[in-house]
Amino acid sequence: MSEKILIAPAGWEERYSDGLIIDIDEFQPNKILIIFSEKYAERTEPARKKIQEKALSSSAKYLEYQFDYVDEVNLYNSVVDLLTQHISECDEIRFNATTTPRNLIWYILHYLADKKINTQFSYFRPEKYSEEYLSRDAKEPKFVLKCSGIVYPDLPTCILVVSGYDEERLFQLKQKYEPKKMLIGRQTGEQYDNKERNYFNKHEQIDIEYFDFDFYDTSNESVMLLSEKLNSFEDEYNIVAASLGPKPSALLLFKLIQIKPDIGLLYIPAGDYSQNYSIGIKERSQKLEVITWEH
Amino acid sequence: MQKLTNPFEFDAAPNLDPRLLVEWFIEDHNLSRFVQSSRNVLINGERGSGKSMILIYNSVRYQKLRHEINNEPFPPSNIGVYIPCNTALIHKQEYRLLPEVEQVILSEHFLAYSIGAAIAKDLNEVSDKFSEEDHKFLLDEFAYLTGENLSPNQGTFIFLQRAIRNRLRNDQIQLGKGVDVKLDTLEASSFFTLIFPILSALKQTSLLKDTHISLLIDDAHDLNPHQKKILNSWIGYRDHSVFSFKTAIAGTRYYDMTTSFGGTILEGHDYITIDLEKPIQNKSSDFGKFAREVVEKRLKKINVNITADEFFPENDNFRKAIEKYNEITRKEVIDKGITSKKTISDYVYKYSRARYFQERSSKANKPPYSGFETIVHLSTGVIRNLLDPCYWMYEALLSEDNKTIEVISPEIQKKVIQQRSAALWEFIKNKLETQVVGCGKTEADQLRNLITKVTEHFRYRLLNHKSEPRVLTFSISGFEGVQRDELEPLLRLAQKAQLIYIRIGPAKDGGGREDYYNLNRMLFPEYGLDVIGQNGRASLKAIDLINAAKGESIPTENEKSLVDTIQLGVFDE
Repeated sequence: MSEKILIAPAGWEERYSDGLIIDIDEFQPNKILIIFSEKYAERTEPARKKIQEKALSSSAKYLEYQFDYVDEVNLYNSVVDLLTQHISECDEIRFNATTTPRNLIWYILHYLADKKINTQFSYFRPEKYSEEYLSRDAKEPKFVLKCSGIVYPDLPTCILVVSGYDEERLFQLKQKYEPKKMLIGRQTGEQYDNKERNYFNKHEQIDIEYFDFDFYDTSNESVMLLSEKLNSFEDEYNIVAASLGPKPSALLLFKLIQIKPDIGLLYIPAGDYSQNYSIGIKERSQKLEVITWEH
Repeated sequence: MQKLTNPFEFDAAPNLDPRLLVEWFIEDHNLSRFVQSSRNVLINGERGSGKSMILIYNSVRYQKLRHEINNEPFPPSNIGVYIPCNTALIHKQEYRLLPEVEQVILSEHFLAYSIGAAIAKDLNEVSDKFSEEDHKFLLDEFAYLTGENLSPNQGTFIFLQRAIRNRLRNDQIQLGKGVDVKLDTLEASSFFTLIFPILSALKQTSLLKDTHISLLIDDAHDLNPHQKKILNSWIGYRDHSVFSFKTAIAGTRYYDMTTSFGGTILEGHDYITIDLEKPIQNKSSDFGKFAREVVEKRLKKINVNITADEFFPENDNFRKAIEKYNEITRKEVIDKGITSKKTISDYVYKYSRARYFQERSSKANKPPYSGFETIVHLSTGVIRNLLDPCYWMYEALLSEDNKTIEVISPEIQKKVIQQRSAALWEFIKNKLETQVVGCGKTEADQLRNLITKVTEHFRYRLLNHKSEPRVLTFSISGFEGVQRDELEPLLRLAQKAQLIYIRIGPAKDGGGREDYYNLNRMLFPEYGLDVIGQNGRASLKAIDLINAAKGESIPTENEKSLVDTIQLGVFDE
């Protein structure tokens, strides 16, 4: 018998719990799967309690699982085991990725894509972001397990960065992978000061290209547009992509690698996320997207 | 690629224009002797020390270019294949989803194919040097080895490159499929099933029959843990009649030297080390000479035929002031009845420059840092650090005036040096957490404190120390047990952030050798410190450095009476 399953890795921001309550009311799941990080167990506890109460009042089965987010292999295997245990191919799935780390978003999407389970992707923007730091103590960038593309040792690296302009993260990517080319996408409508253009030293022979793009638009048309930007040089480089902007850009990149499987995904883990990462919740900023995987 | 106008360009070697690299490279004959030998060599050096440049310069595509530009013989007696390890393939993590034994198999497979791809790429550049018979022979061998069908009119090395790519493509498609990783369909290759036969085939050609092949492994620290052990096992292979490894590593200190079989490769026995982390004590040191050659060769290429000292002249007033203090201190020591020339010269060496800094008003502007020797010392012995301020000085003039630049005035030098020093402190103040991998908030605070307190300590020494005021290097005493456990990770971070450079030298007491530590000297101008130190080192206690990381000053003698002369620290302003 098919079930309606809501997957929602736990966060502590208002938009997480408030958004999830909207999801529960809209989607009416039979089962809610909450994954939470060992490290932030205490911080996510109030939100988890709130969701548990909501689940009880909605007659949905509430299940929560504590995972080690730090060890990538452990996290990947735990996700696969959990989803294998709870999800069958005829289930209806909604995935609330509002505050989910990107690597976890990609592991979950990889599983769902592999099993060809169509998925509703839900994301809520906050009213505003914290004015202090958002995350810090960045760890070494890593290739994403099972989403690392098809690469050749005799080709140079091109890093596609979507979106936003995070100077430190760009610096880390540049230092670690020494790319020959960087393609930096900037969210349309956002303002950037001139310093960004001066960030890369003139003496560095990196070919840097900027482009403006709406990374909140994760439609198939948008994915095609992004894909076209790579057509002219994809044979000359190993292209690896990193999402530094809003979470929908992680979905956009995942959809991109479905049509261009040679592209690999990169992830920069952070050791510390701000307790006050964001405030409030906006209505769902884009329509709830149903992702259909090609059979 | 932008048009190059600045002779002090210093991008990573693989990104430099090949002709420029050949023109700019300074051949160190001692070092070349080892790189061109048939022995295994480990090249140790921090980021920017020129490791990649050495390997690339000795790779076959550049050997051919050297033949064309400099009329060097081709093929040389030892050809090199450049094998970068900082590649997307090496960084893949899927192997970690496999059981241990299979992790090793997949890791070796990717490493062997990386070497195979490098051989194909580099030898394709000299494909025209092989005879028709050589090509025919190699094509047959490569087809047999890779199991690929030959298509007509395909170049020999393009064929090998495509065969390797096809195989890698299929393997990666299999690895990416499904939610598990399975090696069922992977026909794993190893050094001895893929690379050794390729090298043996190359040695049978008329072109390379008398030629040794060096596998130039760059950035081996980027290999995964299994690949490091596998490479070590290969390095342990004693027969060097066909090939040897020249392996560049950023920091052998923490590099795993064990093999896949549980053994360890030994220096002298399995390999020799070339250490690019050299001390810089004076302008006649190896690094000082090398730095001068690097700069003068680059100047010559833009038709500026003067010495590095003439191109980067010292501020006149500063030079005269130092001469004055040389005279004053000479007179002082002679007045004490000393007649030995050596003692007089030692005294002047130790105290004259210190006296200049000691007698400056605490309210005076920063000293006019300038002169090529100052720039050499500011580099802390790292070639990229040498070229960095030179590049920016040249750029400053380019933007002011587009005429031929024949000299960098002391004023421009001072301005750029102050800017680069301030930028380094800004990095310490605001960017450690975000730009140094593994540096969280706690570590950033500790590192910031440590660097600040050690810099303040050296400033204190310069202004007050009775016998060795100009010492700028330190060793650590009591560096064991829990104190080592606490301090060492911080020093490693400082090294990674290129704020501290670690060298090995003779121990002060009891013989043997010990580590000694150099702060990046670009830190000093912001504190008004002398960047040219004296030969010698201070011994700091591990516990004092641990406390310094917590924000405490490093204890000094007579601190109370002399504290007034200490200027404000960078973070107090």
